[in-house]
Amino acid sequence: MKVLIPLLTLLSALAQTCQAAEPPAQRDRVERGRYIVHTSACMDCHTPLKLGPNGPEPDMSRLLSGHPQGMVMTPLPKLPEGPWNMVGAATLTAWAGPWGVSFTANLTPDPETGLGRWSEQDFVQTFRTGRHLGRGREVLPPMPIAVYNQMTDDDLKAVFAYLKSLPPIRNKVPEPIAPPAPAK
Amino acid sequence: MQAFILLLSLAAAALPVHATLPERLSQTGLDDASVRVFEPRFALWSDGAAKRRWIALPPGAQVDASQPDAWRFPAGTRLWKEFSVDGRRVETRHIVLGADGRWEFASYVWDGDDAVRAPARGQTLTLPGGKTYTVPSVGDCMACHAGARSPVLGFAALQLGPAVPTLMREGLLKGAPPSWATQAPDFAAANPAEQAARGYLHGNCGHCHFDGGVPVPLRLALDVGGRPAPVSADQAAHVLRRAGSRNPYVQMPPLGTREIDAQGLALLAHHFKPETQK
Repeated sequence: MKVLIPLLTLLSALAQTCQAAEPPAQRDRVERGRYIVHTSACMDCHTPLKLGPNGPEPDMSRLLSGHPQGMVMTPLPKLPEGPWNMVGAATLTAWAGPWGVSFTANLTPDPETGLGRWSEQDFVQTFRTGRHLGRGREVLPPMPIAVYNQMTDDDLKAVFAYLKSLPPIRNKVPEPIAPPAPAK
Repeated sequence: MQAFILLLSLAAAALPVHATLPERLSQTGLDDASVRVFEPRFALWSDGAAKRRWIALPPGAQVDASQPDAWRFPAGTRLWKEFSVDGRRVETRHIVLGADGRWEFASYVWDGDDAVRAPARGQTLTLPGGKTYTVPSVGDCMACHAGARSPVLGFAALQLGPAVPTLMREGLLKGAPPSWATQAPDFAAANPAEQAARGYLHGNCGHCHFDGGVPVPLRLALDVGGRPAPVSADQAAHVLRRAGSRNPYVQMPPLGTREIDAQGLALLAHHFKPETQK
């Protein structure tokens, strides 16, 4: 009996270790996705900033819904000669640089303007290939695809599960603007 | 500030690297006796380049046509597509189905009597006369081929049409509807103009816009024996706007073309005229 009790304790510990290595349940997966989204800078660009009493803060009424539809963008300022080559809007949702102008995407599950019709595979393949849906145009800067491509499939799927759990927000993000054609 | 820091980490996304295909086109077997020429009915617009296509199946192997719109090819299948601009061969694309079920993609750039494999990241050429020509990256190849109903886009029932009965008689297809031995597979179109326009959309857009393809409610792929899916006035306007743009962030198709296909666009505009005027 003296031998049996430590053995049972060991088996119990092993069982718990194995349990921890198992794929998380859906609830845990959503929670894991929430943790990643809120610690991996997704919020910085995909939730617009607004000016609050303490300065710029995420507009939580537009949580992860991308660049606000209808936001009036004034003409792009001309940058001075030198190393500066990028401009960002105060919302951090619009970025201009050598690639033109990009607007951050609506990541909520709205079927018309967000990820509502995307499959988990569409989402994962976007990060694996750097192309929308894994098969279309390249995702534009400043989206750090190469960083997030380091995530495991499980983590990316968790992020997708969390995004799908959000309330859908109808917000049609503008199309990107191509850079001016080089002078001939 | 955090976003600026993240920018420092920007780099090209990793692309699959395949290094098993030969360095020179002459080593790919294009001159083998088993190679056969084919031509799709509804060609993909490639900025006016002239194209020739070939396929080689392993000896005795058959194409599984039991899914009429998604043929499955035997391991060892090889295909080539040659692009010529202004009468000069520029590039030949090559895809091979490996024993592991994975397709490999490569492009070969012509230099004299042979063509040399282009880098997997693609290449930009300046042709005589100053015209720019883009050789696709492996990622570009996969963007259109990997997610399609079949990775082989042009050697398919509706694209081969009248050539299918010959393939049946030669025993190159298995699982196909027996009627194909005498009757070419086709789709139901109200008139030749609709057949041309919907065929154009099938050949240029259908590899992404099919049921189970990109999550956009616009179905442009055709099915053997079926009627083309309806396209609403809004969708028609959307198609015309994107097909008529070469803004790289808006244009359709998104890859493989820098010039608008004026003839194709006119075909679509005529076809969609009733819808867009509603």
